[in-house]
Amino acid sequence: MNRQDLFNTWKGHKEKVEVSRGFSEQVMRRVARREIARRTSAATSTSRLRQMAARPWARAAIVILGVLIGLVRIVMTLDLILRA
Amino acid sequence: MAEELAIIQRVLNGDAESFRLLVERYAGPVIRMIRNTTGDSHTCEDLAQEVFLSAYVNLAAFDPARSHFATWLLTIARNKAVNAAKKKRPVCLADPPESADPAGPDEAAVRNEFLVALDEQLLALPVEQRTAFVLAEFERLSYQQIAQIEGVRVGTVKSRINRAKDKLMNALKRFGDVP
Repeated sequence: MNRQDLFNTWKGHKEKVEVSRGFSEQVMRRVARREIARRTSAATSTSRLRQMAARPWARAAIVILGVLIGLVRIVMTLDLILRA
Repeated sequence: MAEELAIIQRVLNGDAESFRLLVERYAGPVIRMIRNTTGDSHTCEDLAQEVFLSAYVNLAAFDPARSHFATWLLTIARNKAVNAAKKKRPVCLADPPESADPAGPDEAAVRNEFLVALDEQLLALPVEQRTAFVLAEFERLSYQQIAQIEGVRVGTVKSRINRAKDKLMNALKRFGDVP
């Protein structure tokens, strides 16, 4: 048997593959776990948003917080321009 | 191809179970590609699971206009295999015998040693040559597909594969012809 034949034999060995019987099932279980986690997380976020929207003081706090952040950004931008 | 795109569309529309069809279709090539790149037949299925999970999570990013699904999937597999191969300790190569004895009592043992030497030489290749060689020789992908997976030009792929083949053949010259 020459080197080329042996090389081809080796290639034949490397091309063989055995997939364990439960492989697809294991992948699908992980996919399902991921889906559950994603849905739970989305549901939690939605539920939090709804809870906040139901409370007038929470809505007011968010609006005030947004206004304050906006003001701070304007002040920082002005400061930057004046110093330049 | 059209059937595959329909499956992908179903998965994207929320039918996660359809993803099983893609897993069953591509489990073999993905596991083989990872095993031959990392040289690790024990953890290749774990890594292959990671590949499929990553493909599932990023499925919306797959663009059929840019590549086949198989090419896209093997790109993920290639990247994970390369990262795993880099984390592994370097392979310690045992020196093969200077030449095989044709009159030796155990032909099979000599041939086996020859095959082991090839395995060792494959793992000793620089990782970019190894992945290009694995994709061309064991997955039988075209140069264009390999270039897409590796993110290089076709000419670079050809030269990597040729260099890998030369190194493998040179390593075997030390054996002479095997009975």
